[in-house]
Amino acid sequence: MSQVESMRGAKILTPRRRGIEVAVALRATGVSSSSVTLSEGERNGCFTETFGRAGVEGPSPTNQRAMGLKLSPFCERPADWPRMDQVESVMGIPGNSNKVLRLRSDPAASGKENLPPRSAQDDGILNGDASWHFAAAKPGTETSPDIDVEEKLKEAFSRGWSVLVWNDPVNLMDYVVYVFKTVLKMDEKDASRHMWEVHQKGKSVVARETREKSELIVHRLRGFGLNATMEQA
Amino acid sequence: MTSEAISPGQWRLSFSEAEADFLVAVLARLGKHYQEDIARMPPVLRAYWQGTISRRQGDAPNGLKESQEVLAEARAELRAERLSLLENWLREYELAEERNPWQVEISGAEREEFVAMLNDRRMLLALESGITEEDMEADLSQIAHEGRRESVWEIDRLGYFILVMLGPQIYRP
Repeated sequence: MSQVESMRGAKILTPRRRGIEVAVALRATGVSSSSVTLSEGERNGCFTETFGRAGVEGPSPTNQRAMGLKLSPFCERPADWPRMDQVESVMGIPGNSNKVLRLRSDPAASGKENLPPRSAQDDGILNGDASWHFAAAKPGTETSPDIDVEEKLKEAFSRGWSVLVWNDPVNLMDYVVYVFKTVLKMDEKDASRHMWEVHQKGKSVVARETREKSELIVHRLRGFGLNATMEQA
Repeated sequence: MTSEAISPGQWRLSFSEAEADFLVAVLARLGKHYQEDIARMPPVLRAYWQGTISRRQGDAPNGLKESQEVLAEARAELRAERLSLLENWLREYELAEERNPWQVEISGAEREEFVAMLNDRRMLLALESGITEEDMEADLSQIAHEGRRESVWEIDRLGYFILVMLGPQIYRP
């Protein structure tokens, strides 16, 4: 794996870390396409990372999919997939080590017969396989130098999302405290304070986290039967 | 019912014959429910299993539609995982030589799932029967509708099991 590479408008990151952050940024911001500059090493290399989820040991496949953080877009491709230089060749792009590629999620626009057919599972990094679809940016349509990758990264990693728990008539108070302690690792005092807030005010903000972590917390709380949602703060 | 820690991360639950009969019936019904097609469930139960990622209108442009789909998928998987655990416990009950009391030893992780599953049943009953805060606080004899009365009885009973397993949790200075 190559060492530190630069990315347009972004911090200097290792390729692995960069892959994750770009993935998270795109995922978190709902951007369907963006441009990044990939080095030779990256295009033929691997980014693989698995994060655990907040307060949970050992991410399950569901968690990985939910977090969208198990990325191995190149290493895990099927053996019969074309290499990046072949893809570029098909697309008529002269090879060089540092070209602008558009990461896209629109299969219709990729439109190259030599690329493998896209399955439903290919859609998005949520499925953990990060089957990115690359198409070269046409001259003049190179969008995105202006897409502010740094801003997207910032958004993806900022704790701008609130997790709310709403009151319901059935869940027991002791049970709710237990769930807060188990899922959110709150101490007894904090867990009880939030439980009372839910009970008396109808809801409580129990966490402010990144979007990815907030999603996981919502999943966990709902797994215990609590009525949890998330909102952008 | 009693619950005791027999070693770090290992618990022994003990049920009288009547409690075990009740629990097995509950688990059997829950297992059936876990196998049901969500699309065929009444809307309230469907909503429970699909989950709601956000109540705020206008969050959809932030890409929460995708998050909503992931939540629904994760909850579908959760049902399958819980069904598998539940079937193990029912099998253990079938094979048990002693059922009065019926004793079962479970790990900390299984205990967590067991409590959550009992709570699933409570939530599902409440949603199906339209149980309100007033129903939950009322004396059983004050609930005129038989179906709701039975639901509240079962919800209370399962709540008791949960509390026995968890012990007091609320901070009391």
